[in-house]
Amino acid sequence: MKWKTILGLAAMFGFGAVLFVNFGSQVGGYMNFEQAARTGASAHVVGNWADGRPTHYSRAQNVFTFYMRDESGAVHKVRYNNPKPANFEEAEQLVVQGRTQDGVFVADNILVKCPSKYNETKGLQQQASRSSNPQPSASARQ
Amino acid sequence: MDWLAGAWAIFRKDLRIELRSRYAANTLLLFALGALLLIAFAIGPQPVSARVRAALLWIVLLFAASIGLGRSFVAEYEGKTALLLRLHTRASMVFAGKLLFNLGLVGLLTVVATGVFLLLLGSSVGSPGLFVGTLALGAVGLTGVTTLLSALVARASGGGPLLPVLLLPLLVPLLVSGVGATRKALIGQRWMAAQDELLTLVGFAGATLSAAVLLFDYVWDE
Repeated sequence: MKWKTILGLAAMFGFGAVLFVNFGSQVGGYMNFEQAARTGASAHVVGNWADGRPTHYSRAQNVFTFYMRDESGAVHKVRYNNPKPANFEEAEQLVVQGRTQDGVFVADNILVKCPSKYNETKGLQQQASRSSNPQPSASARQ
Repeated sequence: MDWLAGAWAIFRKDLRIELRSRYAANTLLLFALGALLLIAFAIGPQPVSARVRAALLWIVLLFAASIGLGRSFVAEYEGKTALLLRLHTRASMVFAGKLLFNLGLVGLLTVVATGVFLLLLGSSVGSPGLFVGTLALGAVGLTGVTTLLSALVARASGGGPLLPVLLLPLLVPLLVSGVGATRKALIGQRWMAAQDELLTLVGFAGATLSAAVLLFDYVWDE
């Protein structure tokens, strides 16, 4: 009886670990551009604007293109069928959601994480947040 | 040897009852065929993407299993034979016999439903090996969870409708990775491309079966 419990628990945790490790990589989490290209499905890629490279917005086609450096350091071209998001240049982090098509990452959505306004005045912010709602530091902009 | 003989006897008993009444097989197959037929009519002649086809197939399989597999334990309680089984056999034998029987039913369901599905939606399978492997792994995982939960639900009065409610949240990992791997099989990718999904299915089947082996004693014996 004891035997069975130990063996069963070990098997359960072993298979459970296999399940969670592999399931996690399918449903969520961030990828880099290489993984996103390999899956071919919709993916979230986190990174920064490669600010040495030019950005371009075509008013006629309503297409914004820029280059983004992902967490592995690879730089990839991103196309976004919308105007440039606000605060794009100040962003400390970008998350693009979309899929790779013909070597270009086509984003359906861009999340721009801006630096917090309250970084220097932490004490003041805590006092202020008691009386009113705190400002969110990360915001999603279409 | 004794244990195997006991489990085998329970399997044969269930199989014989099933062959006389055909209750579970009829429920499973009629539901699956009806749902697939309606899907084929609803979709019409337009081609559907591989992801949608894979999702439809798995949803039909999961719902059919959740409706049809609850019967065998309920029948033991309704026929007042549960006490007899408890006196004469150990819990693990009952579980092994029922598991084998349910595996047979799910196997039958999967083969028939997949055949009809491929015929009705006229879709070709890009890599048949991966397709069969995915369905087999999915069927084992599905059987493991369903057998344990149907034993649990049979104890509750009027527990029939409870099974799908309890079962479907647990089946989310199976559904997501089954659909992912099936999509890849339909569009003809190789085994390596579906590695994550297949390992998830293996992990799901193993975890649910070992949990079921551990927990069944408590469900069966008072």
